[in-house]
Amino acid sequence: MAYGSATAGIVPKSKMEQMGLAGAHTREWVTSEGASRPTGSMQRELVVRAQRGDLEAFSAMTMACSDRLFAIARLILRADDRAADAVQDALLQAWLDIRGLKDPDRFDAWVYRLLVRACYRSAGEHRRRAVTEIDLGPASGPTTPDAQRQIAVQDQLARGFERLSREQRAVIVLHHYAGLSLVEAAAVLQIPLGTMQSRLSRALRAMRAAIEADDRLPGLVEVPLA
Amino acid sequence: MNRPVAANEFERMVQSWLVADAPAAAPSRLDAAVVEAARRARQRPGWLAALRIDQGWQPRRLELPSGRRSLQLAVMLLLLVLAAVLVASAGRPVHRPAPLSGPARNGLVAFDSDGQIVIANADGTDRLVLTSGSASRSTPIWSPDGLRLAFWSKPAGGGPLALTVVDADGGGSHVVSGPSAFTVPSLTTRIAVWPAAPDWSPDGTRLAFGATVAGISRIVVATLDGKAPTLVGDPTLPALSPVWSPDGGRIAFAGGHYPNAALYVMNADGTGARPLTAAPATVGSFEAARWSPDGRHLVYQAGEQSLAHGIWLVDADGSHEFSPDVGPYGAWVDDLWPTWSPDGRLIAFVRTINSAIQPTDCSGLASCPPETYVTQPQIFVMNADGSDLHGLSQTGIDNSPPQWSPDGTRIITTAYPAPAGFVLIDPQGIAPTTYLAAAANGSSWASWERLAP
Repeated sequence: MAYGSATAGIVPKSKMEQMGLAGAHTREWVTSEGASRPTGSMQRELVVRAQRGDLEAFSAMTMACSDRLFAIARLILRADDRAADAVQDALLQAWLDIRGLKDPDRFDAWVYRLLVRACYRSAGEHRRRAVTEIDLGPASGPTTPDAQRQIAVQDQLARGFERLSREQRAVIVLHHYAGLSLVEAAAVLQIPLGTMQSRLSRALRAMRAAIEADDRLPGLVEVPLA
Repeated sequence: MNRPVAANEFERMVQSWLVADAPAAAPSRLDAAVVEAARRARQRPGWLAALRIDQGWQPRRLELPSGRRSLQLAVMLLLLVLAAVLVASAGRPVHRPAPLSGPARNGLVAFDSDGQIVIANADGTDRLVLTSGSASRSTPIWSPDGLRLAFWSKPAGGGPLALTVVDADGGGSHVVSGPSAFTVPSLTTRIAVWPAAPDWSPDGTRLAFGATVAGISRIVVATLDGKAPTLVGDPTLPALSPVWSPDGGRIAFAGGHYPNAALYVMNADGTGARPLTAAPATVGSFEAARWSPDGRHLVYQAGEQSLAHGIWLVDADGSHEFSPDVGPYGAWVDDLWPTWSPDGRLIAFVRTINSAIQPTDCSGLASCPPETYVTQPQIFVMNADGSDLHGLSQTGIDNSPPQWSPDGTRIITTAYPAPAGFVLIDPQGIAPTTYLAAAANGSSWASWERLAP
């Protein structure tokens, strides 16, 4: 079940302006879902130009997809700096090898594949280096009970997600965030459809199990001050 | 999350959390960093990159074969592999060696531009900067088989020159010679070609170049097998501008001291050196020799005055030495850089006409301003026997060595003063002249890759 994503493929307006894609061009880039990204003939043209060594075309492609790729990498890797490295790695590989891409329409799927591989590499290196990165959250917290509950649920989901393997995170992100169908996600990950289905199912079950295990842990006892 | 939730509800929660947790935008500098990294990198050739990409992978259900079905599957897989190999072989432009002499198909043009080596199609497309960094690279030369490219590198902070060879597919870069003991001279001190171009052996395994060793010009032969370069020839005989014969058995070079300078030839191992020519010469003469594609003749530049070279021809055995266009031109005409067409029927060279412009009217002036000199290099072409000498209409070129395209339909040389880069001329004078852009500074040498027909 692919939900599609509210964020996938959206290029910020400032970026569209940087890319010189305001006006008539912009309309061609806006999909029926409102997501502004180079699709169809426009993206194909950019890919073909990049295959001829046109760095300007590649720059436009980079600006169009870097937000989406960074979000995916950040979700998988859970660290901004390594996500940025993975995106840079994937896009540089795309530039180096783009002449070998025979079907320009497969650019998106190919870049997703490069990105997931870059994330896997980064995750492996991160394990080897055993570097602990601490992400400091916002200083001010929620004030209403509903908001506090919502934050608590999100924290549980985050903790459950972080306990998944990199492969499990990838299938969840590609399917439930990037909006790829199971077939598309399987193609990106180069795994059989059955493997994709079972990996996704196991990932979600593992995430639930991690959250339920959290719920069973004894909580902190609040001791009233005298 | 203490209450139980249905599976589909949990999936929706996960999706909502992913959307909320995902950053809205990439770091501000990421795009610029990617583009800058791409600018410094070199795209892989299409055929090589295609091998790295799984073009049409489709997900499939994994089913375990059994019995007869597994045999059928094995046969199908074998056929698929064979078909894939055949398709890959047909679709991939395999870089086959070009013939060692004679016409070939035009490949990429390599040239130096602002201290870096650039390759591009002759129309400027598919332009790639092969090198990066602060070292200054110059004088790229394709191997005769078109499989490798050699060029000089000079470190930014000074230091010895290094002769570097890269494979045509961009890999296999290695330094074949770091001649710290050698001083590689300019071809001549007044010609802005630096340093002397190395010359590939016809089989593409060795490079010869002139260098100053212990105060005397010597010929150095470098190999690609990692061994130290060797000095060849008589250590007492000054030697410059080596050039291999088409069969690889001999090396011609400018040898000796004035007034006993001559065009020499020796065996490739340095033995048996003997002068081929008898014409009088001065320092700087007998250079830029080129063997005819059939190895039977040599063309070279020689002259009695330093600014008045002529084009000379001699048979490989030293007979029939003559200059097809002796003049009289005096010091006002300088013919340099002769080069055979790939089929050996034509010879192109650069003729520089030095004109003195006298002040037109000095009346009323306390002193008449000195005359000024104007040089106008122009490509000339003649038949291999020296007949039908004529200039091509193209001017606006620099006094630098012209090169024939491998198919013989174009001559490329340095444009001057503008536009910066190289000019491509039709020796028949039919097709319009085109230009290949390069940096205004430090672009003086172009070499055309030879491909198998």
